Amino acid sequence: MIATQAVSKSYGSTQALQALTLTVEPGEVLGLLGPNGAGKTTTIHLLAGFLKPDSGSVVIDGVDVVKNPDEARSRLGYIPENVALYPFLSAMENLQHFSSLAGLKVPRDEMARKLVHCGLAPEAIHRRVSTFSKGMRQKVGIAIATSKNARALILDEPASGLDPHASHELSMLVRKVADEGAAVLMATHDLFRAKESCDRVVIVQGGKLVQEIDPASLSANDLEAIYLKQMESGS
Amino acid sequence: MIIKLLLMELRSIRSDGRLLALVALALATLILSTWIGAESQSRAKTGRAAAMELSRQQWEAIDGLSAHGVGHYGSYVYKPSSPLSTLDSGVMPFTGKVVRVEAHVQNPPSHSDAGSWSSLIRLGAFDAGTILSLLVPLLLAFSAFSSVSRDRETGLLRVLVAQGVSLRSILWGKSLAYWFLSLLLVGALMVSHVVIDQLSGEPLTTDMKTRLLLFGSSHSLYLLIVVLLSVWISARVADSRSALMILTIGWLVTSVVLPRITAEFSSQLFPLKSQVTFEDEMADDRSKGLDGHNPRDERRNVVRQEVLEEYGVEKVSDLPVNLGGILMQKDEEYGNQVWDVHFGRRHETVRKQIGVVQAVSFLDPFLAARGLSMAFAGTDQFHDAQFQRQAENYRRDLIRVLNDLDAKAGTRQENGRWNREKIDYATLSDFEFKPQSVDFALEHRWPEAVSLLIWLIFSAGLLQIGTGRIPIVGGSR
Repeated sequence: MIATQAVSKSYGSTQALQALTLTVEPGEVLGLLGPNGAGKTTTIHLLAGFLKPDSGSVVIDGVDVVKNPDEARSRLGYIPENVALYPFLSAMENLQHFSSLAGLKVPRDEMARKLVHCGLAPEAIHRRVSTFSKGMRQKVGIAIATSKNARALILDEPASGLDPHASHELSMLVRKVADEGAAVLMATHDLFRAKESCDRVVIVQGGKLVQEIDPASLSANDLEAIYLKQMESGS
Repeated sequence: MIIKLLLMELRSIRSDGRLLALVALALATLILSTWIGAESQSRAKTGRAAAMELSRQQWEAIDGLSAHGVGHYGSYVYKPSSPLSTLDSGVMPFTGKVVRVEAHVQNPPSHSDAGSWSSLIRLGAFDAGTILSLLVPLLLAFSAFSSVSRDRETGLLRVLVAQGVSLRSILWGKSLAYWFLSLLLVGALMVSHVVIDQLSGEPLTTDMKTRLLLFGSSHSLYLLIVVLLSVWISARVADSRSALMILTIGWLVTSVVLPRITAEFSSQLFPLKSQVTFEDEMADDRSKGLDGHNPRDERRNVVRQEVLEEYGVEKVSDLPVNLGGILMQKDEEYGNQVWDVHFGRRHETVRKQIGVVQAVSFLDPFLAARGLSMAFAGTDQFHDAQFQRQAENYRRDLIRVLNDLDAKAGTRQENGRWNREKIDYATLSDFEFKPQSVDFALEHRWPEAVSLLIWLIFSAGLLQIGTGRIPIVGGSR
């Protein structure tokens, strides 16, 4: 489970989050929608323990992130908007290195399967990632994050820069991870992708949760209309 | 975990051609400086041997001079180079290498490299000790300034931390990788020194091995401190540019500005008299007596009377010894006291000046590293003072022996005149410099060693317990 309880965070005089409360149950994908500066990335960074909240609590799989960040991170998979890797290593070597840092002992053929499963072409597995496109790096990042078999997965604009096909594959993968029992929180701008892969969508603006939506009950156009209406009322 | 991160950082360094080129350049510079130092030392050794041989020939060719005359004729003693001066020349280029040894006069060492406009001095010292303590830290700072901040800027730090890697492990892994590069440089330098020594037929004594080991260890320790601080600053500040600026200013202050201010401050606090004033005051004391009320003639009369009483005679012409030799020796002993007082004061002032530098080394580890480097190479002021002390002791022994010969090697003729025996001066021994053991260096340089240890504990402590305020995310939120 992923949970924030009345979390607030400010940067100097700028209030990034105001008493934000969210819960993502195991097996659920929650989409976090909002414009730039709404507080999506701050929420992700608080969940990953990169930042400390001014007040409130952040919990990953029952572990308080502030009190026990190392333990919380061991239960967490994280995919940033731009996955940073070691450019002089191949995709396989990157996956090996990050897996070993997480204390995982995964056979090479299983790692290769993982990379392919995450959408990387088999011929790219042993290529240096410095030659990769953003989408390819993103796929390696997804393989790294999901190889931990974490109980919680947080994604920060993961489809940014991906082509439609790769983006669809990502949606399917996220769905699959959730179906295997993980709680997934995905910050995104992509309304269509949110509708495709999320069980619930929340809209945040000015650091506050302004609306919660069940995307299954709406078309993508309806979702967009609701989103735009919230943006207009908030601006 | 730390080993995995260390190996990955080394791979990262290896993939950066510019960094590898810098390390290769530093390595080549170090080995070149050692080779140049060895060549220079070899030339100095040859020159010293030739000068000693000439002095010996001139000494053995003395004929027809009285023992006291030989004392005036004098000789020269030559300072041997410390075997490790090829690694760090210390103060040696600026201090004299030759002392003229003669009766009545205590000459200061002369013929320094700096005074003779040696080619190596014109552009400043170019030795491994200077390169290791001055240039390699700059190279490390330039290499490590972005070690963490770059990862934060690219987002790699977030991916690492999210994988469960602690910031402490990341910082230690990076630090040890950069320190490994430093160890490569220091190790290669030490090996090249041993090889060059072996090729030149210089035997490595146990003391030299210990000194070499301590030389390498002290530099390695200093470079570890530099690396730990560089990595921590890279982690602590907001971006790579700020880290580079802080490290460059830090290097400038600790390696260039503060040492010079400290040297100036110590000179102001404990000023040394100019050479002219020093020599004038010593000559004055020598002629007037230590307390200023004891003219030389009066002293001579006192000694003359004492000798006459000792031998129970009324007249000098009845003495079974040559009074001239005894008077000369008494005068020498008086002069020795004057020398001891004046040089004692001068050495005490220098010691106090070094004490100021040693105290400031607790604020500036560069000063500690330089002090230890020179001390273990046997080229600091403490070691240099030993040459002057031993040269003076040799002079005193030689002149005492000559005065003794002048007083006793002969017979009193019936007409009261003193008939001197012919003396073979070739039997008198040459000056032999006894080098100080490494204990001597440690005895005088323990404050710098303690300073480096404190700095190591402090910088390691920053990595060990100071990671709480290190930002994992940069500008992006």
